[in-house]
Amino acid sequence: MPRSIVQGVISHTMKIWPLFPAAIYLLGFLIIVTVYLLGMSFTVVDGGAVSASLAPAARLLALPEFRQALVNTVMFVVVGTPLELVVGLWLALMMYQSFRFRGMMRSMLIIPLAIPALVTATLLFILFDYPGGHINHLLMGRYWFFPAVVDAPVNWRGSMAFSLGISLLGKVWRDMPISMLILLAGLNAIDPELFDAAKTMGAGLRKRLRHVILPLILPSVSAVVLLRSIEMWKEFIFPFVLAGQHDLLGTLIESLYNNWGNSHEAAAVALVLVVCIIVSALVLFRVLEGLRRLLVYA
Amino acid sequence: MSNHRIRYRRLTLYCGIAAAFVLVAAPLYLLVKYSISDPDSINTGGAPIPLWPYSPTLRTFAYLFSDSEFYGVVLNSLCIALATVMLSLSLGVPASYVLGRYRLPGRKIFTLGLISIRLFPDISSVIPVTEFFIRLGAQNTYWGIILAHTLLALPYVIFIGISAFESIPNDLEEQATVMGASRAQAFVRILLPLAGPGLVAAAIYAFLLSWDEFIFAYFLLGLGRISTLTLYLNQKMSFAPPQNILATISVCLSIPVVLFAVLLQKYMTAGITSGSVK
Amino acid sequence: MADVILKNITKHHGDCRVIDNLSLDIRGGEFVTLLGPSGCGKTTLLRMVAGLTSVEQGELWIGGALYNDIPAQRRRIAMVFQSYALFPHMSVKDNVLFGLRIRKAPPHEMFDKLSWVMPLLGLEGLESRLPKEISGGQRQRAALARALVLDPEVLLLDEPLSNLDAALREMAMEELKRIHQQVGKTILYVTHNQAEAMSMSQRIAVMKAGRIEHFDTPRVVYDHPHTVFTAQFIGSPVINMLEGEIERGDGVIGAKTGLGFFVLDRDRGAQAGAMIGRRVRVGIRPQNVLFAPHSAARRASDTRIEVTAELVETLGDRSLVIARADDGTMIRFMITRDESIPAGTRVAALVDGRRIHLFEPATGINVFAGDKQ
Repeated sequence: MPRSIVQGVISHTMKIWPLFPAAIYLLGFLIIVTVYLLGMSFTVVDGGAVSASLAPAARLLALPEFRQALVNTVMFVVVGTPLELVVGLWLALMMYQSFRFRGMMRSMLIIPLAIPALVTATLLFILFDYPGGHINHLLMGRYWFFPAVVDAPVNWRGSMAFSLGISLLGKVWRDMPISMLILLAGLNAIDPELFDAAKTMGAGLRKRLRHVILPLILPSVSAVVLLRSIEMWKEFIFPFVLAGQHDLLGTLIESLYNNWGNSHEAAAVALVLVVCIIVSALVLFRVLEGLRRLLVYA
Repeated sequence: MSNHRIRYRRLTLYCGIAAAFVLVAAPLYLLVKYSISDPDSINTGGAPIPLWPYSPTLRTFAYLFSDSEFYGVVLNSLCIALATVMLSLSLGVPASYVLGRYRLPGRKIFTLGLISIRLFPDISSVIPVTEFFIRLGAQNTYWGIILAHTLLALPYVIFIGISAFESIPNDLEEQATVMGASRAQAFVRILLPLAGPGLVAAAIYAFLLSWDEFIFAYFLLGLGRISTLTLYLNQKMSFAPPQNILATISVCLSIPVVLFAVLLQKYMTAGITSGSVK
Repeated sequence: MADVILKNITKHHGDCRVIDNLSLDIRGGEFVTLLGPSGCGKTTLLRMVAGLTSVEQGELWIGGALYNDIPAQRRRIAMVFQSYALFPHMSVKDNVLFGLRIRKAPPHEMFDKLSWVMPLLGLEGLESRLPKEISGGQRQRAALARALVLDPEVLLLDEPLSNLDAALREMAMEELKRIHQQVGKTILYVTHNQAEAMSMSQRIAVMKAGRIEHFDTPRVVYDHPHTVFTAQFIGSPVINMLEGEIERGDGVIGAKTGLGFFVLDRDRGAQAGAMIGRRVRVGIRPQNVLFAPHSAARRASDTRIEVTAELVETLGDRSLVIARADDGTMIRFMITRDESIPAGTRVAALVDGRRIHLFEPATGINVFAGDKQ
């Protein structure tokens, strides 16, 4: 018997050895990232000697920039996630109808995703220029097709609300194809006979929406909300380019590390970000699951 | 339903589609417009910025392509992206072959474990990786950035590869075996060609990921001697150069990506949706 | 032309015993069919011979050599899968030559083999087509051609005709038989279709739950089924099964059932004489019940029954009558197209006592097992 077990292990190993290089690579980095993140967050270096310490965490909590960045990021998530869902739903419901050039329109709608985020950010940087960008000229009524809304040019990147706002705009614009595709896949997975069946049973449009469509696409809606909220937490490039002095957690990590040279505090913020994502994903998951139950059983 | 209401609905739909079209097309148009603008169309001296340049010109492109620094940067980006493709395919294809072909116990959980590195935000994992690479002496080196980009691309390659290999019927591999082919011969002659389109998609995915990657490049290469196209664009931006140069670099950065993305729409859609919808 | 001998083979999938201490002896050049319902282990057995599934217990001998531990790629065996498993990225020609290329055959050999097999299977002109560009029947033949060029010792066919429509299947059956006669390979054929098995094979192994119920020529399996299962699985329409008891009546031995007293022929009656009083299951094929509205019994072993017709199903040239006796026993029999029975009429029929089968109620084994006349 032991011989056959050994043979079994050997033959199994013979089968799966091609898996090993990639597994070692990815799991190795996973361990390195985790160990470094935890290690750096809870140690200080003093003249070459490393000692366990809560000092990075304590200094972080005392840092007004950190608190501001945390608030900003929460706002970013709270505003951005529903916005992505609404835009995605709008596009998906349109693309679910059949019309001429639908295929072309679909390809077209995927382009924002293909454009590198840095390019989109650069474009917004140009468009929201102060004092003379396209947007300022537009809002000041310099073009025949748009009424004057403001008297003087707005310094977009100078204000916290505006600079984070245009970052959010860029983020939503770039990621709307993802939300659309997920929701569209959810819609397409619904058997059209279900609508007909509901119709034959006398359900009007509103009832069909409430009892057939909504419960059936709720899994895709959940997926969009969950994935998009994670992406919102992670955001870096748009605020990095567009909101120089007004940090999200992502850009705070960068400035702590590169500008202030505080690698341990940067790691601590990075850890906070990971924890935030996990907590928010878990909470959202529970909420969405509850919502699904409510819709299906109520 | 009355004819009138159908027509009304149709009209709303077309208005919505037109709005979506403008939403996507207008920024793209403006980007291209800036890249072919002449200086007068940008520094208008108080006049509104024209929606079409006064005298459209390709001079910015010509200027950029005559700059040897730009060439070097493009070449760097290209080499790093190609090396990333090679490394992530040579690690990822064998792994996805095993995960896609054998019903191993715990396969799903193991796959999740492999991909879980991507659950960390880039901006969080970049700090430990940079610190680790500094200790290793891999900062400011080609192989450092290639290793980092492979780390980002490999989970996608494995993910796409698994579904490519899974879709091949078992009969074909067994048939090859019965006909005398060894495991390696069956892999090279049967499985690889059939998984081909999926693997090409994975390769292009890896290429694009590296091509427009910014965060790891910024931390690992910084302002060192090696620069990539994204770093170059970012660096130019901080020097506040004319907007037409920024736009032209952006167009150069985007063109391969947009081309590939349109070609690969099918795979991109499948990739995005398969992971998220049960 | 190798013989295939299976000795006491057992195989489990998890806790389930798929093959149960099975032995089978196939002569070189023989066309043998493994016939059984799905899940009976016939495909597992085939895959074992191919080397795709390991032999857990027992021995597998091919051409006088023990094959248990020889990997599939080193066996000189060819297999045609149910799906045909044609490589979709290769032309018909490349598919056919795949095995020879793997074996690094010289070009002239490949050319010879190709120019032999393509006309044999009527595939000329399709060399450069891809599998998706040819018809179902052509695919089936291409898969067969691919197996034949390897000059295998044994050819394994796993339900190769199940994806063809009825007309094509008939043609393919004839063709397969012709090819077997021409190349003389040992063929092991798996199917759940008894008509395929009956018309093509030299011997049929009827399988159930990992065991062989009966292994003999189609005629013997049909005329003298070893078990109730075999009797029910082979033959169409399905055999009638009645409950009865062996009795002596009017000086002859027979079986008493709800339909009446069936007289056995003299030979079997003599054998059954020792079994008087035993309960049996009586099997009567619909074909052995003769619709006889007017005539009396013609032979001593014929039994006349009277039943009421309930349903008549037209099968083309003949019709199947489903009838009920006074005590509720059902019986099915055939009539020709010239005869007609309206539902609800009372009819008389003759049961041929030479063709009735008696089985042990508990084990389902033929009480005359071993008797093959």
